[in-house]
Order: sequence, then structure tokens, then C-alpha cells
Amino acid sequence: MSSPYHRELLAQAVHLAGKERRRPKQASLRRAVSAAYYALFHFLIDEACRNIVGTTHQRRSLRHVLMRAFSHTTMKNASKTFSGGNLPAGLSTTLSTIVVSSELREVAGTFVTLQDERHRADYDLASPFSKSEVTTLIRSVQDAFELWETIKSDDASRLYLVALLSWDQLRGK
Amino acid sequence: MNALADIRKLLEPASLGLPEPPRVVRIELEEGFDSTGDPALYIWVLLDDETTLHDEVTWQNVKQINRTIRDTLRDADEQRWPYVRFRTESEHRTLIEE
Repeated sequence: MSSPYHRELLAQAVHLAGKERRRPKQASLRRAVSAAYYALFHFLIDEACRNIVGTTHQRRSLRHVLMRAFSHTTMKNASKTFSGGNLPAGLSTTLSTIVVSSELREVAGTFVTLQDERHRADYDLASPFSKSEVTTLIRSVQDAFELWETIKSDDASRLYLVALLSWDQLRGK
Repeated sequence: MNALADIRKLLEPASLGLPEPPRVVRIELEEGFDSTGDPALYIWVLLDDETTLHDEVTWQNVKQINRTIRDTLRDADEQRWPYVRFRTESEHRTLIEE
């Protein structure tokens, strides 16, 4: 059985970051950052779609259709809010029992950071990467995967997954 | 929004009580806007050249350094998103010279 797509992307990031030992090429480092971001992006939208549609094999096509509906900007805005730990007043009043854990804040913060670094990697050639920078970014994605396993059943985490898709509609409620 | 000079003082490595390894040599700051146009702070944490990020203890400490910087800025009510980047001092020097 093949490994999940997000794991393949992360393995690709690790491979590219270590490809040239002495003088890493910017192309390798930049593609590694991009792969690391997309590993986290696909991991989160897969989790969100499983949360919303269900996990059965029969609903795989439905999940794949829903995956196309996610927007990078909406995901970033939702992640910024969750990373801060405080939900907008309207939501926190309605969902008063929901507490954003430090682990969820970390996962959301990693997403915000990786998205911006991906943009830098793909478009800002004036800003070179070092191997240490790329290594820390990849490690932070690995950590986010591990942290998620400890919190994925929390109400706040489930809300986060829904928010990744519909934050623009949810945040004013 | 805090003045850059004030943030520099807040993020003086000696006053942050950062764990070692790695040894933080200095922290550099830059103001800007991120990829979606939001105001941002770019924070370069320059590490001792002996740093090996594949060591587990070092990695846990790097995470703690990252958290400490973010918490310090949050406590100062800094609204800009802090993008914290880790480089060794020699990597930083090389990339600037190229």
C-alpha cells in the first residue's frame, strides 16, 4: 500500500533539503520548502474532508471534490486566528466550552509560517534560503503531524478543520 | 504596533533566557508585508556555527526559542505576525555576501 500523499511530499522535502551536502542549491532548498508546505496543506485538507464527509472508501470521490474547494488565503486567515488562541467574540460566545489548545495553536501557526515561506520560496528570488532554515521548516511540519494526532478529536480541532474551508463565513457569526 | 527599536530591546538574546544548545549569537529584525499583504515581522535568529539541527535536544530548544520569541511579542501586544527564521551565523554571512 502506498504512503499517504502528505507523507510522500514530506519525504520529498527531506530528500531535496539534503540532496547537496556541501553547497545546497537554491533550487533544491526552495522546492523542499514548497513540498513541506504542500505536505501540511494536503494533510490538513484531507483531515478536514474526512471530518466533514466521512472516512469511508465509498466517499473518496466526494472527499476529492471537496478538497478542491479549499483556498490558501482562507486557510491562512483561519490559522492566524486559531494560532492566537482567541476566537472572534460571536463564535466564542456561542461555543463557550471550546478551548484552543497550545498544540492546536502550534499547528495553526506552523501553517501560517509555511504558507508565507512557500511564497518566498517560489517567487522571491532575492531572498535566499539556508539549509538550517529549511531544516527547521521541515521539522516543524513533522512536529505538526505528530501534534495533530494528540488533538484531532478535540472540539476546537474539529472547528479548526471546518474553519479552514469556511472561515470567511464563520468568523462574523 | 511597537517601534522596531523597542522590539530589538525586547528580543535581546541575553534577556530572553534562551535554552542552549544552540547558542543564539544575535537576532536581526526586518519589517515588511507578508505574501497576503499583512504587516509582518521577519526575525532572523542567528545560531552558533557548531549548531546541528538534527540533534533532538537542539531541536527541542529551537522550538522553545521560537515560542519564547512569539510569547514575548504577544505579551508586548505586537500585532504583526512574527516569521522566525533560524540560520547559522556563517550561513547568514555567506548568503548576504553572494
